[in-house]
Order: sequence, then C-alpha cells, then structure tokens
Amino acid sequence: MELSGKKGIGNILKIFLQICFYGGIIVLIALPFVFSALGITLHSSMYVIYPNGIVMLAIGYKFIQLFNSLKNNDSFCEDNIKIQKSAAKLSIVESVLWLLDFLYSVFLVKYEDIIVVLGLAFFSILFFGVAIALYILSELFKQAYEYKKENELTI
Amino acid sequence: MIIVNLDVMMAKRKISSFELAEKVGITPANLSILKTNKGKAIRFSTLEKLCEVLNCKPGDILDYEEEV
Repeated sequence: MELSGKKGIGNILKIFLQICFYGGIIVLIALPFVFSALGITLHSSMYVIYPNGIVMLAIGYKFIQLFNSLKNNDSFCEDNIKIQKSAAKLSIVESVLWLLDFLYSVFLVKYEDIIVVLGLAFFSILFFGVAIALYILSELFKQAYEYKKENELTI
Repeated sequence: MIIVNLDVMMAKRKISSFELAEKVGITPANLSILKTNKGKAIRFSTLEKLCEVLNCKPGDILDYEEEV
C-alpha cells in the first residue's frame, strides 16, 4: 500500500485524525450539557479534560497538517519541520498538564482510585516521550530537508 | 568562496545562456543558478561538458576568493 498520494495510507490516517479532531470538539462542547442532563457530578480533577482536551486537539490539528503534505508528495519541507517542532512543544504542555493533574489528585484531593492516579502519571510520561520523539523526528526532517536542498542545488 | 565566472566565458565565446544550457544538457534555470553563484555544488560531468562547449579549462570558469 502506498504511503503518500490520494489513496495512500497517509490520507486514510488524515481522515481518521479529522474524525477524531471534529469528534473531540463536539465532545468538549457537549460534555457539560450531557453531564448536567444526566445529573452526574465529576470528580474535580476531571476538569483537566478541558485544558488537556484543547491541547490534544491542537496536536491533532498539527498532525492533520502533517498528513496534508504527504498527500502532496512533499514531506521534506520547512513547514513540516515547524509543524513537528510545535507539536513537540504542545506535547510538553500536555505532559505538564497531566503531571499537574496527577500531583493534584495525589496531594490535594487524595484521590483513592489508584488506577486513575496511575493513568494520570502514565499519560504524563507518555506525552513526554511523544514530545521527545517528535523533536527527534523534526531534527531528522531538518537534516533530510538540508540534504534535499543541497541535492537540488547540485548542477 | 568559489566564484563561478561563467558569464565572462560566455561573453568571450559569444554564446547565449539558452544555447549553452542546451549544449551542456542542463536546464536554463540550473544554468542561471550556476551563473548567479547560488549553486551548492557542481558535478564533474557538468563541469566537463561546460569546458568542452566553452573550449576552456575548469580554472577559467571557477575562481577562489577569500571571504571578507
């Protein structure tokens, strides 16, 4: 299966990400109304869903932009390097937000559900790893872009 | 830095950019990159062809100047 092009796996992934992105927006908007209609009171630490959700949507949007270039068969360009770097920064923000929620759950509200608390720590570490991976990827793309430019200017 | 004196040699041989590009087998756009010193590198095959068409030596096309 092709990676790039209209029928490539990159385009399928882009459509999947778009569904997640717009679905995420709908969930974030609808969540308070759904919970109030059902009479459910959320644990206070769950309010982290909002800032985390917004940052996650921003990361998702960056990936959609990244897959757009795959469709155009032009992966090694300056824009992609910038997109990956900003996605890495957003992942760091996301990691810090999860960490804050973890600390909040452990030290302030003393949340007893160990699985939720461990989950918060896991997401914090996960996004930190994603940030490092994205940063390394952006550096690799930068190198590839420089090689490509040099090759194009070799007459 | 390496300076490409292609335009000087072209004027001496009274050859146009388009004609030279055609004879060397590169595009006029690439020849323009070479002439304006925007190129990063030149292939030996291109240099050989340029010397052949312009009837000159590599030193007549390329020069070295110290960067200020």
